Amino acid sequence: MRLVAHIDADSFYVSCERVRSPWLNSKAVCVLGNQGAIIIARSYEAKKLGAKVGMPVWEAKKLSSEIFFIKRDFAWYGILSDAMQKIFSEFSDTIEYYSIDESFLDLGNFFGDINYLTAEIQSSVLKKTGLPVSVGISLSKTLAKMASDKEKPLGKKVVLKNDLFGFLKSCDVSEVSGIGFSSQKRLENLGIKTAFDFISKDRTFIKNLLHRPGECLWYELKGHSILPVRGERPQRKGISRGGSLYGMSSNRNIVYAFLLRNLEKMVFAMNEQGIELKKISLVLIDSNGRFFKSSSVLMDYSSSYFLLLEALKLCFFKIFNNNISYKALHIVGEDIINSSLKQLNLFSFEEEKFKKMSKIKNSICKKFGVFSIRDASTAYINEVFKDDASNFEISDSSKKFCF
Amino acid sequence: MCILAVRFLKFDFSDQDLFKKNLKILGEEVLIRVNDKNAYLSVYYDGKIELVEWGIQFPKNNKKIFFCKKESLISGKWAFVFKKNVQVNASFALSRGVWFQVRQGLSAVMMKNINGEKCVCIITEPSTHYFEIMTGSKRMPVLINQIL
Repeated sequence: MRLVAHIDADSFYVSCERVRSPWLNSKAVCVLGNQGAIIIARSYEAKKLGAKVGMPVWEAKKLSSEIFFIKRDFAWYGILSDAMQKIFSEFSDTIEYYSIDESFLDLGNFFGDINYLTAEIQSSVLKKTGLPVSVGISLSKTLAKMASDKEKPLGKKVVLKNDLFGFLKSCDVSEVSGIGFSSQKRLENLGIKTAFDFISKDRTFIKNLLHRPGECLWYELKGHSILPVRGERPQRKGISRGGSLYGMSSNRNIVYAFLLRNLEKMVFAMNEQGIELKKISLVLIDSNGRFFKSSSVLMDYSSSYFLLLEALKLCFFKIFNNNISYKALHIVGEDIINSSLKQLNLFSFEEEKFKKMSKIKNSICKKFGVFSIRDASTAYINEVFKDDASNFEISDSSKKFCF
Repeated sequence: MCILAVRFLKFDFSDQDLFKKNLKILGEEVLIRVNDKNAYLSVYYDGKIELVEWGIQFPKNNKKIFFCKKESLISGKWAFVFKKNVQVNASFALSRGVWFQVRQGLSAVMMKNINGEKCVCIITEPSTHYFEIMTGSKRMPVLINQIL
């Protein structure tokens, strides 16, 4: 019987903060992102007081005088996430690093004591990292994920063939990973309220309603493992970096400095992952939420900072307007290939001196960190670089599959 | 006032020390509000940690001052009472209803009041973008080895 395990850390960001600040245990804690404005994670204690992910801090503080707010630190969360992955490798050779706080393990044809294994994974992670996790083991990825979600925090759930139907009857269709809000509403309108109702319907009915992904889920919920546990991250289709400009700005130098900052991050990530791109786009967002987009296609695939900058400069000068106040920008790279698969070209689109500069810059940044050497035009926003926490975003944790 | 209260861990002091000063203990932490009758902060200086009164009272106008601006310090306006720069230990500080984490401590100045007793004022500076969004306050305490 092939089994899959899903491990999901409980209140991951808060738990990471508690590892280094134990006096936060049992406190109502919220982790803030988006420059101190929005809750991106909360402890179960804060959840009981009414704090929600996505809630602005000025609303959350009204809920109670005993809610504590912490600035997010993705670098630290990445370190603990990597530590968890190392522990998982003791239990399986095939691990899918699904997100910063979730992983799937392929347990293969498992013959031992499953309940003991579940407890062992949980206690091993808690003992070695201090992180509480919930573990679900079942016949497919979808079922394993539902099982781990069922009894959080510090949940342990095994769902096998003999208790499958009972388990599915206890799960709302909204608890099925892959069924979003609009699909849920459509299903409920057709009388499909539980996961058991879902599998009770004919496969072709589900396929007509939700197409191939729905059909996949139908098989998965029946205990047929259709979605493999992927040990290697599939080739990404795009890469992007961007975000808020730390307030509004119509100053060309400042907006350009943020463009360069995000380009530096993107190039660093591309070099880490060994990828190159051919199409790059710049999106500027103004204070009213309007989007301004421009794209540029390169002559050849590249991960060179200087070539990408030349392409972005064209985009920038096309759409930037110093009468408009901007609040955010994004750089999006598409048409991506693995550098090792790149077709060699007789023609070079980059001057030799820039190639050398790129190589030196990459090796310095690889050794000392992403902004250890940076474009001088970023000096207009020096204050932003002083904050180490803001130099590392969740998208910079490159091994996970969800970004 | 940019911060109204501070919490610090009680482990640097004996229960007796805390009891003598009549401080409010909440589990592992001590809670000090700026308008407490006994407002003492945990202060680290010269290799030791002491409970020092928060704020200096000026007899001229009988007003108690709890903060001093970094800009005023630099311009020398506090030279007449300034003794040294110290660190106020804290786990959390409260600004406009938001308890925010303090990873190491707050920068402060140690002074002597008219009775010759040590007291401390927390140094403030213009808020960073992050702090202003989080609390709505235009000024923030100077944090040690931390950027908010």
